[in-house]
Amino acid sequence: MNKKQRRLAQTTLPQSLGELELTVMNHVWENGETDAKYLAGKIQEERLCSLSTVQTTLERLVKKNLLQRHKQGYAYHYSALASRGEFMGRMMKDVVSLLHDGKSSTILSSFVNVAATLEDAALDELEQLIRDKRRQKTRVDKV
Amino acid sequence: MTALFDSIGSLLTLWLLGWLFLSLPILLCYPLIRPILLARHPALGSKLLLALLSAPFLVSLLASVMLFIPLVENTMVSAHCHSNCGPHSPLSNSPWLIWPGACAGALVLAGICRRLLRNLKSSRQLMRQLSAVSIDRGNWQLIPECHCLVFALGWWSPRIFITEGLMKRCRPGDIEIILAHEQAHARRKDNIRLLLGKLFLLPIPNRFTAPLMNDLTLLTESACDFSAARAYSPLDIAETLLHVQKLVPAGHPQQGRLAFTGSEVELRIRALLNPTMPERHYPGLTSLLSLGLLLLLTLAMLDPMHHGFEWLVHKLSN
Repeated sequence: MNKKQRRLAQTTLPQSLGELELTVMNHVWENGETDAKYLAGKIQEERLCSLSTVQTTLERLVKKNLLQRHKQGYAYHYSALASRGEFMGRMMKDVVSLLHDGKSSTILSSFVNVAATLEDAALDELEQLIRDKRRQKTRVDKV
Repeated sequence: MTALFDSIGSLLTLWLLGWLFLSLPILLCYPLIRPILLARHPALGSKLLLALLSAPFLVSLLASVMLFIPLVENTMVSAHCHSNCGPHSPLSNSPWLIWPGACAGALVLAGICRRLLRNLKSSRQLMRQLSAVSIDRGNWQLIPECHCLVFALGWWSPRIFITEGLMKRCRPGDIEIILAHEQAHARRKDNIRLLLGKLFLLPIPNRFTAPLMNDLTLLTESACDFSAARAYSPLDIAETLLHVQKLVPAGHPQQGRLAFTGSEVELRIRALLNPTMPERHYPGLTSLLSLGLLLLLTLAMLDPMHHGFEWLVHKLSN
């Protein structure tokens, strides 16, 4: 993989990928370098999908610089240009951005609000408060 | 055709004016109402706040439609005469009122539809993408990724997603508490409630409605904390909140740090540790009372809306 390919792979946005493209990427990451027939077999265990559909999807992913291919015999073999970690990291950053800007707050909500920082002093104070409550509860339970 | 357009234009103008007019006292009086809401059980408080936000929209819409029903005109509007003394709806044929009203009404309705469709499309796209890369664990999905994130996605049947990074760093019991909290959101359909809250405040600029929406979010989160507290100790839940808060070291939110509005997490923890509000509330009774109050307010608004609109038409005509 050359520098240009790597740079392009890093700039492809996760949200620009469809469900099948992500499924194909998943299988490529899991199986390493592989061909379309093997991938189609794996994907068909999960969903209805023809070999030609998988081949078309692979070609699209090559154009999006997420996969590279080389010919081995009569078939093309495909491998990932971006690692799963890098790609998933970008996807999660997108989710964090959505949580952060609040525009998608009606479809996406987090356990804790992803918006601003809580100072260490405030965290320590809360921790102390919880510890005091626990001690109080233990004393009451003993009584 | 002209008469139909005049009726629709008048109805839309009446509705929008009523919506704006009724929103103003709520925005102005909210600082006085806020302590009362926050002192209640958060499940009750969030319901009451949503009912409050919905009142201008629902009352003005219902009243506007009812004013164009002859039976209502005969019974609820005080008798008065214009050129003839028959029952009549508050119609205007003034283009200065009808056209802006009709256009504004159409824009608002289009804005509501656009927002709903955009949210639905984003939700479905993100759901498909995340489902393709995550592992199904029954009632939640595991994302094989090192950032610390847990979130619920979707409106009607939200799915819960937890990253591997968070799983590895959680203590025993944390995940169960987080799931109980998120499942409470799914049961209560909180994403739909928040969406409705935003829609009811649509014509008001964000900087005026932000405090109300922030409180609605806070009460919603706190209600789910209390829901989780039925199965787990409030102290354990408070510790989990704090632990999740601290999981990732300081950094820019774009790098995946879980960052918080200090006030929200702090208020949630303090509410769990010092529950001053009554533990029980009666959801069915609250809903009935809210509906009853909305209906009473609607009926009370009929006469003033009719006369108020006719006064405006008269002023604009002269």
